[in-house]
This record gives sequence, structure tokens and C-alpha cells, in this order.
Amino acid sequence: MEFVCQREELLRGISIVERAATSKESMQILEGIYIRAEGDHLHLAATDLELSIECDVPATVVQQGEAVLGSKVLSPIVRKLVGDQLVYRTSESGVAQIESGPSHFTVHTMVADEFPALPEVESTGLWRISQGELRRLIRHTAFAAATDDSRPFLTGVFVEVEQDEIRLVATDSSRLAFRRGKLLEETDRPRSGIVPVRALSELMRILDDDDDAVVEFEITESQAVFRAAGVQMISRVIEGQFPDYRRVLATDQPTRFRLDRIQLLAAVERVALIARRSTPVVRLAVKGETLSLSSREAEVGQAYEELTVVKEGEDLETAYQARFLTEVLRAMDSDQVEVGLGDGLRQGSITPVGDENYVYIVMPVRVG
Amino acid sequence: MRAPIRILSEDVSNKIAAGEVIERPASIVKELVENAIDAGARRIRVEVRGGGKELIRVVDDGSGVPADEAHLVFMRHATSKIATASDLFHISTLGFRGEALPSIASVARVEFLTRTPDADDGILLKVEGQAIASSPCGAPVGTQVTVTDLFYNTPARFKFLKSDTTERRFIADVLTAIALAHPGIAFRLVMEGREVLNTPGSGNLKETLGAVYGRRILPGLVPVDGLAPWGGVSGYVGKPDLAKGNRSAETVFVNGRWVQNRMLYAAIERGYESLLAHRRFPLAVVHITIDPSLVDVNVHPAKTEIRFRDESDVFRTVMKAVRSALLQADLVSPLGQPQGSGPAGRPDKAPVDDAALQPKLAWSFPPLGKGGSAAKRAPEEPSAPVWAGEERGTYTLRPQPTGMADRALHPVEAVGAQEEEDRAHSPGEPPPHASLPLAASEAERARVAMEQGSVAHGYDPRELLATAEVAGQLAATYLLVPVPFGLWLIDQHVAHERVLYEKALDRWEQSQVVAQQLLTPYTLRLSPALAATLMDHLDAIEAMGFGVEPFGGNDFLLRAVPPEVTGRPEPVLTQIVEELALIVSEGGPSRKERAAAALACRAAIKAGERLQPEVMRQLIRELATVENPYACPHGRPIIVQVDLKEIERRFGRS
Repeated sequence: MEFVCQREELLRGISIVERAATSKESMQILEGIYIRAEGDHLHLAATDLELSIECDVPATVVQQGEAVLGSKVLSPIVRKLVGDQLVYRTSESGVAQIESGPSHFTVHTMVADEFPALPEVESTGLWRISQGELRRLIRHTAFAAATDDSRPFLTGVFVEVEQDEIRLVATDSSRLAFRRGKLLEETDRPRSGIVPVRALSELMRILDDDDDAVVEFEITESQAVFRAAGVQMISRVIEGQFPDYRRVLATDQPTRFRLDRIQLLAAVERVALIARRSTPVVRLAVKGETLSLSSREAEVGQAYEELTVVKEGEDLETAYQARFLTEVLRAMDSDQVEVGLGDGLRQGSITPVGDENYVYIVMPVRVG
Repeated sequence: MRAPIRILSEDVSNKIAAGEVIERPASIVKELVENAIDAGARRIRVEVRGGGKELIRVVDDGSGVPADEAHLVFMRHATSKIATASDLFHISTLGFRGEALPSIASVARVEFLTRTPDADDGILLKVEGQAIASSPCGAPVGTQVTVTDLFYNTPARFKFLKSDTTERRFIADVLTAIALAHPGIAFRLVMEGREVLNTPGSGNLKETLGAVYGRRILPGLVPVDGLAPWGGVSGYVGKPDLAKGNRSAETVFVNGRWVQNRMLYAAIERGYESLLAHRRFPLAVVHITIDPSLVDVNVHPAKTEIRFRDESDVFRTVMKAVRSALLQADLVSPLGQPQGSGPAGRPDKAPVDDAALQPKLAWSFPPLGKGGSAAKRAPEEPSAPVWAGEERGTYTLRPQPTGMADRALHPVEAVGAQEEEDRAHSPGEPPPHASLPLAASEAERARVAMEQGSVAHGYDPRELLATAEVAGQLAATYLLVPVPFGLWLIDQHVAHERVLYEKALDRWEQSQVVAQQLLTPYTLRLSPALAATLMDHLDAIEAMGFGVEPFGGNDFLLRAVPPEVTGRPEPVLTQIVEELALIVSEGGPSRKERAAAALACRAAIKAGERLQPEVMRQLIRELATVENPYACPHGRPIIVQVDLKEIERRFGRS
């Protein structure tokens, strides 16, 4: 294999795919980045068998071929080289020569045949969505997923596609985030699956700032495929039955009030400061047009704060884990939020004012 | 026809009474040594042969008995220690019944040699049954009592004696306890011609403990000090890594008298609370000083039982004194000092003693009699020492891998292979491995080992935890935390377990329930027995933050969980219920402690879990706030310290 390419282009490709390379020592080949030179480009790939990322980089291919280089070796070299162009050559013995500017590296390669075959994906009939929409969907939901592995099906985001609608749901069984979005085209193939949060956060990293750029994707029985500008990411989907979120969304609250999102976020963060050892819990009490937030910790003290709200419904008092409030308030975009408080131990909700597509449901804590 | 009622002859009644006082050779040793102490002795030597059945000799340098009173010592209830019944309630001497010598004399042959300082001659009494022969005899000041042929006239009782080995162990236990009660008196115990105990008599309890258990325990001793209106508590308790598998190293004295009292043992163990693993018992020597009118020691002739007017007050005082001592101590396990359980020390880190060390208890004896005796001693043989008591100024070091100190400190625990090897040596001879003068390098190593326990002093461990940075994670299980004097390895699971445990207990104690409601309930099916347990303890389970609803049969709906439970809640609740099912009517950790420990264990970060730097940082910050950052609720250590000096030594920089 022999090619010449722009160093910056190759570096961009490596930075995209290397995140899928594993650092586990069990299979050394998985630490590598696969490079195939053909036509007018290089095809780069890395995988840890759960997640694979591939991308194409333009190059002048002198002699086509393939090779696997350790990502921990290749990545820092390409990053530090100074030349604009990079010349790569693999000899018969499997030793790679990398030249750029005044530098010349000779590095050993791994046997390309051992690199696992990546799934082939039909390039027609994928769903299409704008980057901006997909980013928003992920940002508004993924944080609510469970982080421990005792319930694998809660460590992913449930993605549901129907006609021209896409819905993302994540829950850790104490709170749930739901967001609805639009596909660019209607589909006649409704489908759903649980996509690991890790895959979605890698996807967020790959997607560029162009909100209007198109992402093609599909969720099958076993995998989720995402394609954006020269990059393809394939993730396994998590097996298991996702809880029926519709039942959770269906309920209504007897008390609703509106206020500034940033104000509420700051107030919750402040009163939660008092909790030093225990899990921070904030009591919310609405009386008339006043929302009071309070928290107390034995041996430390207490915090109290009042905010003015626009209320509908009865006066009510309840308590939530502070984290369950701050995380969603940070994820939201709107200036105003509407908070619904449930009666007794029933669920509360937080929604952005003026955006019916986003609902966050949170269960209270019983504080005795 | 019925037998007529008779008044028993004095001989018979003495033998009956003797049964209560003299159960075994160790009882004789105890009675005679206590007499010696009451006589003001400064040095007491005890010699034993044939497990005490052949010979027991107690020699003291006390005040002696005037010749004209000597014969009275063999009369029942003849005593100089009390005069009236009311004196019984203000007893300050160890013996007082006047039963000891007559009882001993009724079951063994006794020679009593004594001289007071102002008499020129001593007197020798030879007692056999009712017959007393006396003659003047030259003697040093003090008293020497020689008891031979124990139970020669009561063969039935003789048969009840255990093997010589066991009897020797009882004797050693008794004398150890007495020596610890009287650090101001020098005790020497010679059994079968070998010195097994020699205490300095300097008045320093710590030195005495070092003489008994070996100097290497000294850095692990924490002084206990507690005051109460009725008196106080003092002594030493061992750090958790000195714990052992039975209560043999728990020694309690009330007004200088060795007592075996369950309540007091329980109070000490409760003081450790969760610092000790299950079925581990502390090394502790606790002296209780109490107004004599508040205790009744006249419960049993052996006087090791005792009653308190106000048991619960004594319990609380002892427990609090022990706990506050431990909480103030630096309990980070030094690396290289083998633990009672858990990670063993490194082979080359065998404890090395100081050359000036007093010989300590040595528990292995040469086989007695002729060949073949090895077979019968095996089952109850106390384990062999690694350190054999040698003559003053020399010592033997036997290179032995791990567990060495542990074995040396737990003389009555299981018999190991090493012991078989020990038995092969001929009596009195040092084992063939190595008998060498203390080399300079080893003295240095000993110093390092000694300092490891204390080098953290001057630093508040909590302060360190609150400010230190985590350098990394080892094996996805241990946090590496550099500290000014070395490196701390923090077990992430047990550390988090401790944090969660205290959070749960805190909430419980403040009756502050925090129950995170669940969006959709979990169902939980339990065995019928566990289902019943859950219902019995429903109040406690709800107080912890669970919301549980019976759902028919043995099924339950789990509607809420404590906020610490971020994973699957059913296994956590199941474990708590299993733990609660273990509660028996008395003893052991309380309900809340059990439940909190089970919750913490299940909900804590697991070993093998890769953690983000901020999570690790948060964990040690939280650990800094807990009451006890040294051991998990099950007693496993949280922090292991690798001393900088040790690291330097290994790199050849010392």
C-alpha cells in the first residue's frame, strides 16, 4: 500500500475513528486502526466489536492495499508531524514508512486479515434527519439513562421511528426524558431499538456544527447505523424490553407553574449546597404565586429560597433529588419552563414553555 | 431403709468445697499466685511439671507468714484478709475466703515454706490429707508453695483433667491474665523446664503486653481511657488488624481481678462496632476500676464471675471508652504487617523483634514421656509459636512466609504444618533453621516495621482525604492516593460501602427517610421465610427509604428505593431481608446496622469498575467525612498504606 494525503485530513479521520478502538489487551488487533487505500481515498476503521466507526479521507493512492496500525502509535505521530503532506508506504515485510516534512517514521503494522469484518449496510432506504434535530434529541434525553449495568436495557436510549416522527426516551426508573422529533421524509417501516448512550455520545462528537446537514440512519434488530458526511458509525443495540413510557407520560398534575429556567436551576443548585453527606434533596412548596425551595442537612444547617411563579391549580408541596432537577434544567434550551407537581407521591413533570415535544417526568422522594 | 443423716467429716467437706475452687491445675496456680500478690510480692515465679498434675510450685518474695500462724493457713476460712461479713462488700484483696490452701491440701500433697522478714528461720509445713507436719527450715523471705500429686486421693476428679497440653494452656492463660492485671509485678512461668512467660514488672502495662504478645503488637496498641462517677476504664485495645478468631486475647479486670464476663466482652466488641470482621475478636486489656460496693465478686468461689449494680452504665462506659480510643487512633493498615485476615504480609517482611526483647509465651512443648505421645496431643495442641521463648538476649528467627505474626499472636488457633515441624525438634534446642544474633539490617527492618504504624501521626487522615488527589486506579479496584509519607491504596468498593453505610445510619438515626419513588414499580418474589421476615421488619425497611407493598403471596411491589440505590433494587432489598433474617434474639449488630451494612454492600461501587477521575475524587472526599474511614461495615480495611520509607528501602535509598 502506498498513498499521499493531506496530513490534516488524515488526522481528522484518525481522531474520528480512534474513539472506537479499544484499550483492552485481550485482542490486540482491536487497538488498531484499519486503513484501506483504494480509488481516490483512504477508508479508516476502528472497532471494539460493540461500536465501530469508519470514515473516508481523500488521498492520492499510488498502490492500493490495506494495513492495521496501532492507534496509540499512529495517532500521536500524525498529530505531531509538521508537513502539510504525508507519504505512507508499506513494504513487503509489513513495516510502514511514514514521511511528512523533515520526519521519517518506520513503524510495525499488524496483520490486516485479522481485523474483524465490519457489517455491510445497504446504502438505500435509510431514514434521514437533520443534524441539528438529532443533536437536540440526544442532548435532551441521553442524560436520563441509567449509568450502572445492573439493568442494561436502561443504559441506552430508546429510539422509536414511525412515519415522519422519531421519539427518543431514556429513563433510570426514577425519572424519564422524552423528546419527539421530525424525520426529513416519512418512512413506511416503523422500528424501534435501544441504542447505547456511549454510541450516541460518540455520535454527538462526530456530528459537525452544520444543523442542516443530513444524517442517514437506521435501526435494525441487532444494530444501529448512523451516517454523516463521510463517517459511518455502527453500534449494537441493547437487548431487552424498554418500559412502556406512554403510561408514564399520560398522567396529569394538579399543580402547574411557570418560571425562568435559569432562575430555577440556580436556585436548586444553591439550596442543594447545604447537603454535604447525604444525597441532596430539595423541597418545593408552591403557595399562591410563590415557590419556595428548601433543603436541610442535620449537623450542617438549612437553606431556603423563594421565587415568584405563575401558577395554575392548588398549593402543593413535594421534594425531589436535586440532581434530577438540575440535569434536565441544564439540558433544556427554552427561557421558561413549566413545572407540574404531582399529588402525594405521584410524578412531577418539567417541560419547556413553547415546546410540546419535550417532556421530563420525575418521581418525588418521600421525606420523613 | 434410709441412711441416717450425718455431719460430714472435715475431710469430706473440704473435698467437696475443693471441687468448687480447684477444678484443674490452673485453679491452683491462680489461687496461689493471688495469695502471693496479696502478700505484697514483687516477683513471682511459677513452675509447672506434668501439666500441673505432677508439680506446681509458686515462689514469691512477699511478706511471708509468721511461724506461729502458719498452721492456720490450712484451716478452712482462716484468712487475714477479711474479718467481718461487711468487709465482703469492700474487698480489695484478691483472695478472701480462706479456702484456697485447705482446698488444695485436701486434693494434693502440699509443702508450705515461708519466712517473714523479721524472722531468722522459716517454717516448713508438709500437708497430706489431715496430717500436718511442721519443722523450722531455712528459707528466703516470702513463701514457696509446692503442690504435687494433684487429685492423688480423688481419682474420679483426676480422670476429668484434660491432656497436659490443655492444662498447660489453661495455666498459661491464667498467669497471662494475672500478669496483665499486675504490670508492677514480675512474673515468670516455667513449664516443663522452659520459660514461657517473663514480664518485666516495671509497672508499665504496655511493656507487659509486649512481653506477653510480642513487641510487634506495640504499634498496634491504642490506649483506652474513660471516666465514670463510679470509677473508670483504662488499658489498651489493639487495632483491628491485631484481631483474632476467638476471645482469648480479650482480658478484662475489675479492680485488678481477672473476670470473664460476657457483658464486658460485648461492651468492648461493640466499641469496635464495624471495625472487625464477623467472628473476629479484638486484642484488648481493659482495667475497670469501680467502687467495690457496686460490684459483687462473691458469686462463685473461682471469683471470675462478677455482678454489677448497674450493668448498663458499665457497659456504656466501656463501649464509649473503646470506641473513642479507636476513633482517635490512626487505623490505616500499614502494609507489610500481616493482617488477622485478608491480605497477608510479604514473605520478606517477617516481623523482627528487638534484641532486648523479653522472651514471650512459647506454646510448643517437647513431647513428654516416650515416643507415641505425639498422636494423642494432636487435636487440642495449641499452635506452635514462630518465636520460641529463648534466653534473654538471643532470639531465633525462623524464615517463614506469610501469616507469621498472625500465628504468633494467636497461639491457640489451628494446628498447622509448621507445628509438625516444630515437634520434631528436641526440647530446649532452637529450631535448626536459624539462630542468629540480631543483624543490623534486620534491626533496621524492625524499626521500619515499627514506624510504619505510627508514621502517619502528625497528619489527620481525614484532612488528607479531603485534600489529596487520586493519582489513578489500580486493577480497576484500588484508588492510588499519594500522601506526604507514602502511598495510600484505597479499595473503592469498601470505601464506598463505608460512605453509604454511614449515610444510611445517619438518616436512620435522624429519622430522616428519603425514599426515591420509582416510575414503575419492581416486583420482588421472596421465599416464604424471607417474605415473613420482610413483613416483620417492614417498618425498618421503609425507614431506610424503601417503599414496599405486599402483592399477594410472597410477592411484593417495590415502589421506592433509598437514593443510594441507583442500580437494580431487588437484589439490594433481598440482601437486606436476608441479613435481617439472621437477627437472633440477642447479640450481634443491631437491626439498623445489619440493614445499613447490607444496603451499603449491595449498592456500593463494585471492584473492577473503571471510574472517572471526578468519581474517584468525590469518593475520597466523601470518605473524609465519614466517622470511620478505616474499615468497611464488615471489618475489611479501606486504606492500606505503603510507607515512603519502605519504598525508599526497596529502591535501596535508605
